[in-house]
Amino acid sequence: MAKLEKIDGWRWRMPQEGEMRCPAVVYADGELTRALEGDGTLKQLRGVACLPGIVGPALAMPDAHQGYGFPIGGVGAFDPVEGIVSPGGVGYDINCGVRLLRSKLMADEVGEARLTALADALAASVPAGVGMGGAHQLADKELNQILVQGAAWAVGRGQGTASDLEFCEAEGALPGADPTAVSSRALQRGRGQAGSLGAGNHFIELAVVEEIYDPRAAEAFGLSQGMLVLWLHSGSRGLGHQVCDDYLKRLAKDPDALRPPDRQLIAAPPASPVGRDYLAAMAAAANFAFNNRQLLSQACREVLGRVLGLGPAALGLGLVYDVAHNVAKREKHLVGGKQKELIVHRKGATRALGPGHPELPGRYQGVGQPVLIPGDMGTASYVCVGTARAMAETFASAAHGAGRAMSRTQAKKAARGRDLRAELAARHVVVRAASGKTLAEEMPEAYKDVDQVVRVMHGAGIATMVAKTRPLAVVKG
Amino acid sequence: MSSGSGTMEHTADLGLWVQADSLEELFAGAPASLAELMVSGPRDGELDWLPVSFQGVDYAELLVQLLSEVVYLWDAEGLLTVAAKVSELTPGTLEARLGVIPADFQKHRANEPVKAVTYHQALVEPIGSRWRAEVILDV
Repeated sequence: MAKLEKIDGWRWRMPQEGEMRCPAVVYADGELTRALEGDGTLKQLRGVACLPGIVGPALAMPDAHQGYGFPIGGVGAFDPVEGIVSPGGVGYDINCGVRLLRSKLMADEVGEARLTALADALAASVPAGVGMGGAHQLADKELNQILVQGAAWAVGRGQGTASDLEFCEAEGALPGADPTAVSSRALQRGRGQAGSLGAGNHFIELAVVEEIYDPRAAEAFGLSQGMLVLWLHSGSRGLGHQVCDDYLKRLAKDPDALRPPDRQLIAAPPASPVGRDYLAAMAAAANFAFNNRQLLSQACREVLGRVLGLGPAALGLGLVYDVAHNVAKREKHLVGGKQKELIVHRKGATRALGPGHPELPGRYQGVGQPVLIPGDMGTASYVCVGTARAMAETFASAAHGAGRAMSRTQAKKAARGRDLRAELAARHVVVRAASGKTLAEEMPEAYKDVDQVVRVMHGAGIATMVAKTRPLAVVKG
Repeated sequence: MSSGSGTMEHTADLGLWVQADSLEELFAGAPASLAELMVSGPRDGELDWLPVSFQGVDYAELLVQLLSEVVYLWDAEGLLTVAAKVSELTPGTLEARLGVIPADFQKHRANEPVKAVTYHQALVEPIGSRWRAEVILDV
């Protein structure tokens, strides 16, 4: 068992030893740290610290838990020449991510009856579930365009506005995407899934801004107390999963591959043919996901407009931000006082740029990047903001959500005999889920306490609290 | 012959175990076990037999590839795997046929939303006189 040494109330160090090439740092309080010691998170974090070319430390965010390859909530930055790129450091759902839309509506003006109607209409209008088709059936040419253009493809077809792109990470399209690096099998899985939510923990949530902690940042983000907002969580669907699968398989046979003991952590030098191809295919899948969330948000805009009888201007569903939380990107960071290009893997972790970063939209230059932290469907979610400290300490990274506390099986056992819909209704949350099983697996207790996760980030100064939202109506995939 | 299968816990995902009297039976039974976990509903109708061929460094890698095909066929092609026949199995090679039926969305319901079969903690090993396989599924 890897040992942790306390740095302060929010940080713990795993000292470099054995085959580790750098130390690791865990962002957690004492209670979260004890939870991490109960599963394979620390062992996996140690595995990340053993990879060649890591520009340390390896990092675990406060929502970390066991994954495969990297832990969920894991961050690793690698030298582009001496380091590696690993599909296991990105995950299967490439560019799984979150976006938040503000509105011009106050939640109490909408009322419970219309929130119920909205939940029903969203559940009926937005395709969800594994393997379920999307709202858009794509020809090869369109699919290839999406893989390069990302969210701009949808915007170019009237599905949103140019300003939506300004408020997406990487403006909704990672550079370097190459559709020819994506297999025909991956294309086949994606062909019918554009504009679909997916299954598992993916969701659409209408929520109310309950509390503002940082009025200046909230104003920049266009958020105010009592406002109705919309959260959306989805990714690259089957296409991204197949890209990951394809490259794990190719790496297993590739002479350039590095084969750590955990075969899910198989990797290759970024400049090797397989490394280059993976990065190009991963960027293409990431762009499919950006486009997917764009199509989904436009579908939500249309549903809200129809149900509430309001036009786009009256609804005012503007994008606060869209962030990826499963991705590897070439980014510049200060290392030893010098700007250096690194390949930053974030698996279940969110980019968290501080004020003044050139990649931020002008409106956010003075405050920093919105860091979106969805919680569970019964309690709360948070909007935080990236900091200079995150840029200095965590390769501009923060947590991505509450993180699971229970396995799906444990959650189903805990839900047995309970009426979760009624429990959520008692908290004034309308929920629509594809099945009772999904509802049980995603029950609030299945997740860590999001307040605690955010408190650690805030205390550590890597992302600070801006606003808290409370769920009102949730549609689960 | 006696075989069995069930699920195991994983923090965010789900594990599948399969046991059988022989390696061939293990590989022949695992695809249908996974498909049963993924999709509920009738398995009637004539089977279409699809040949599949995989290379790997060990049995675990071959099994992950075989089960990944079951996920792909369902997700991309709308084909539900009902049975499998193994014609060649060595630690480096698997030749098999998957017996599939077309999905009928009036009758078939998605059960566990399996999106991928991972290499994480994948194993195929003898347990006494029998064989056991375990894989973690991305859901």
